[in-house]
Amino acid sequence: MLHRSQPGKRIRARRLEQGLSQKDLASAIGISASYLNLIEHGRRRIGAALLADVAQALEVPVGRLTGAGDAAVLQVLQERDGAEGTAEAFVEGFPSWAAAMADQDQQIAELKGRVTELTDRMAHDPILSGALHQVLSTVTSIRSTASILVEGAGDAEWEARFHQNIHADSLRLAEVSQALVTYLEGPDDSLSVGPAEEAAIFLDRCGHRVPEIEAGGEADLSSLSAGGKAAVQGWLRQYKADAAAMPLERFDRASRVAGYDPAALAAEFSVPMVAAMRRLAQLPSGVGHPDIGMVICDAAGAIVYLKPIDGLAVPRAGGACPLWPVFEALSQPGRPLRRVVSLPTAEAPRLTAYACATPYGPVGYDAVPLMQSAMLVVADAPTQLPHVVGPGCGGCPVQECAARRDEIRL
Amino acid sequence: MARRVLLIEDEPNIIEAISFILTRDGWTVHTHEDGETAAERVRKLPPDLVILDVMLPGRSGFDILQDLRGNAATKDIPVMMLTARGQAKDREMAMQLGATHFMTKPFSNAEVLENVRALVGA
Repeated sequence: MLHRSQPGKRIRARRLEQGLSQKDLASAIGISASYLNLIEHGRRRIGAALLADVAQALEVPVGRLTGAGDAAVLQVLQERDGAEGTAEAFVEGFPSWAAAMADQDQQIAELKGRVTELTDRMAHDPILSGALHQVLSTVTSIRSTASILVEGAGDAEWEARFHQNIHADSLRLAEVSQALVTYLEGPDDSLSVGPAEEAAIFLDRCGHRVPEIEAGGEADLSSLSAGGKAAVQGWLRQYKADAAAMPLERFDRASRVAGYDPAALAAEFSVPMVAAMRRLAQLPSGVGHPDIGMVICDAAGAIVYLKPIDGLAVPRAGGACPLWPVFEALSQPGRPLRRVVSLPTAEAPRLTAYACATPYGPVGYDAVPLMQSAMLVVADAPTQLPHVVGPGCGGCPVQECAARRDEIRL
Repeated sequence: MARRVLLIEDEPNIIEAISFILTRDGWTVHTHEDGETAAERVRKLPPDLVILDVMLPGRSGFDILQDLRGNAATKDIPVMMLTARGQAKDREMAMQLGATHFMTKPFSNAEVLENVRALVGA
């Protein structure tokens, strides 16, 4: 059931109805796709101004997204296939069933979205597979039965029977979806937002670039807490230094000529390769560059920086697949790697990954050198056969893999 | 004589809804819920069209389809497979094994009618 306090779910449902991707909607309202994702999952509040933009982009009144104005029942039913003209009569004749059905419609749209996201995992995770099969069967049954009721079954006995079926299905759907939500969202939701996560959200929201700095000004940090500001300071200092060493206009041109190869750009601008990688990840979107993501990890494999893009499945919280070149590079410090990589699913994009591990921090005699590894991924659709990399063992369909962590290995 | 559809599906409320809309459209609808004995049921009838769910108790829809296509009496009967949305591999497999058409759940009644009419009319 949807609550008034959860506009995220309604935004998501409406977006899916409109056939828009998160990326489409995010770019229409000027935020990053990952920030929209957080809003949709109820992990970030949405302010009134942004909500108004979203409503405009989704072509609905704001009330529909906040759950106000529940004359929306009629609207929802009118949007059903073939319900034109009969919806009003149905709402009048069976007000409580109509309300239940409208709720179910929204639930269905939401579940459909979830189903689409989880398709790949579905085939390989028995718990998910079973639960989603039940969801799909129940949704199919509800959709078909509701449609018969909206058109009128023409016989009181049949109608009573279909009402009973839809009631039973709605109970089952509620139960299965509750179980699914618990399974999917359990551990993550208990995480509170610390300064590092606040900073990560800030970067996702601004798309990991700061136009004010490109124009010689300062970043606007007014939305951040003191801890969040402190956490983002180091990144901003580095950004300024990179922008000064590799001015945008010249770097933009050079990156196209170099085919987004960070080693070539490092040579051209006389900077370390990791600086060229950072600058590539700061290129503006929507002006003909491919999507570019970046990961930096420390020697323990902890992710200290992540700019996510589609196909770059390296979880921030750990448990990443060790086959990603960012980890491979740690065993050969100073040696740049280039690999075409792809997740093990038919739909996953091929990416060109560049990685290099280098020391950082102060040096001292007999001190342990601190190493970090940086990886840039460019969605430039390479044609070579990819190295297969995983989303982490939990969601990975490749069973025969020497790197699997399912059992204790001594 | 009304043309016959055999619906092989194990979800009772889906069976009821699809049977209702097809019967109302003038079809004679037979239903079967068990995967193990489904192919035999098709041979005994045989129907003008089979609607076959992929996930069935006892035996998968793919195995049943393979059986039907390997038997002279049933190899030409149009088979519409029901698969879960987005399962690209299921769709590929269904078409490879000789399904005439597939529909992804959740489908609409209008789609069911349209496809059934097209498959048997053709």
